[in-house]
Amino acid sequence: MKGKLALLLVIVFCFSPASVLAQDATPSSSTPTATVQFDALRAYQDYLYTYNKYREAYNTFVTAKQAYLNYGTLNSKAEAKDKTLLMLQLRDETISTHLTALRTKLAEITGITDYDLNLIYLKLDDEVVWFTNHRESLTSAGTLEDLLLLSKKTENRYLKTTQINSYKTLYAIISHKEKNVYKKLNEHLLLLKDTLSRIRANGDKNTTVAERWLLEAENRLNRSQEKQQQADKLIATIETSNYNLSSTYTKAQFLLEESHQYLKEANLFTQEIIREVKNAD
Amino acid sequence: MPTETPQIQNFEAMAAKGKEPEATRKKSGFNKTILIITGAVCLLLFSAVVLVSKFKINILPGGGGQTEEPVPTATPTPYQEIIASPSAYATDSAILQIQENIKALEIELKATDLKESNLTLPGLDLNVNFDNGR
Repeated sequence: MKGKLALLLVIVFCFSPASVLAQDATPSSSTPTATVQFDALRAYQDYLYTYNKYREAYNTFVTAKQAYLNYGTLNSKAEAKDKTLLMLQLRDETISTHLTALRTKLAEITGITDYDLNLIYLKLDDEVVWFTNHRESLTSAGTLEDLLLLSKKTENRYLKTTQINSYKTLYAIISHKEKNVYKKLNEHLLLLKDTLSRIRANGDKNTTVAERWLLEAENRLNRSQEKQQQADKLIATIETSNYNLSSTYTKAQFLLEESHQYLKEANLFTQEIIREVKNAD
Repeated sequence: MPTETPQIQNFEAMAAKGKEPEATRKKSGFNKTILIITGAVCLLLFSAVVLVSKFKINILPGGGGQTEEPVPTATPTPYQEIIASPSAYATDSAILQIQENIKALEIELKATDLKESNLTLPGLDLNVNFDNGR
């Protein structure tokens, strides 16, 4: 008996630190956590979570639909209706959370600065409100046929406006990034131009080569701007491109990548100019 | 026909066996204690091994016998600008400032993601119907 007690004590002694460490490793669920800040990352996580739930719901919907088509019983129809309702609700929610993720990302990158961006925010807000209301209206559908009619409304809305606004926002995000680096490089080149003028005025260093190279860098910068303008023009036509939204967006995005390549080259040239200035004639 | 021979029982030996001496009994008790202690020590050692492997505590010199080979990582040698014959503007504050800015911009240019593939539009089944074809 005493031996058994001793063994028990040994076991308790050995495993108690593990449990203490385990408690330390994972935060207690009862501990109040700090208020979660709703930023672009949080919005993106929300979107991913909802999208996964939608995909799960879609798979169960497909199974229920097949069962109804195979057996045609009242029970299978009721089951199909329930699964359709859940799938449609999650579809609306996925669209809403995606739009919110786009909105927060745009706000994070740009800040509300100009009229064009404000217009995008307004349109996105309008979309989110529509899908929130539509999601609520789904619960009032009495039959499977009612649900299918409501689903058709989502389809029309998404294809006519939501998709266009989503692509425009996505473009605004990447375009703003590109314009931001372009602006910075332009400022640096202007500063370098002024410095080269000062050096030339001092007359203690030949700036001919540096100034020629500066022209090359400026040339790359101009080409970058041209590509940006082409992309802007292309994205402006997205509303009229009907079923080629994705293709139009991809082309505009590719133009921005070309613009980015010119910026990289201009930046490399600038580094060479500085090296030239730092070396004696 | 084989005949059974009656077994002669040794009653004296049996009596002697029943009366085990005190010293022998003490000895067997002592053996039991040693056995329990040995078992406890083994269990303790086993638990220690489990704990060490679970929480990766390096209590033994050299990481408890399992030494992890350090993975060689490529560390680029920082570029050092060599100017053979520097001009009067090699240490000019305006030039150095522009150089710093351009270096920072180079990092930014490399890090800029112009795809934003995380935020591309989700694949949704919009045309929901109960036709047999789909």
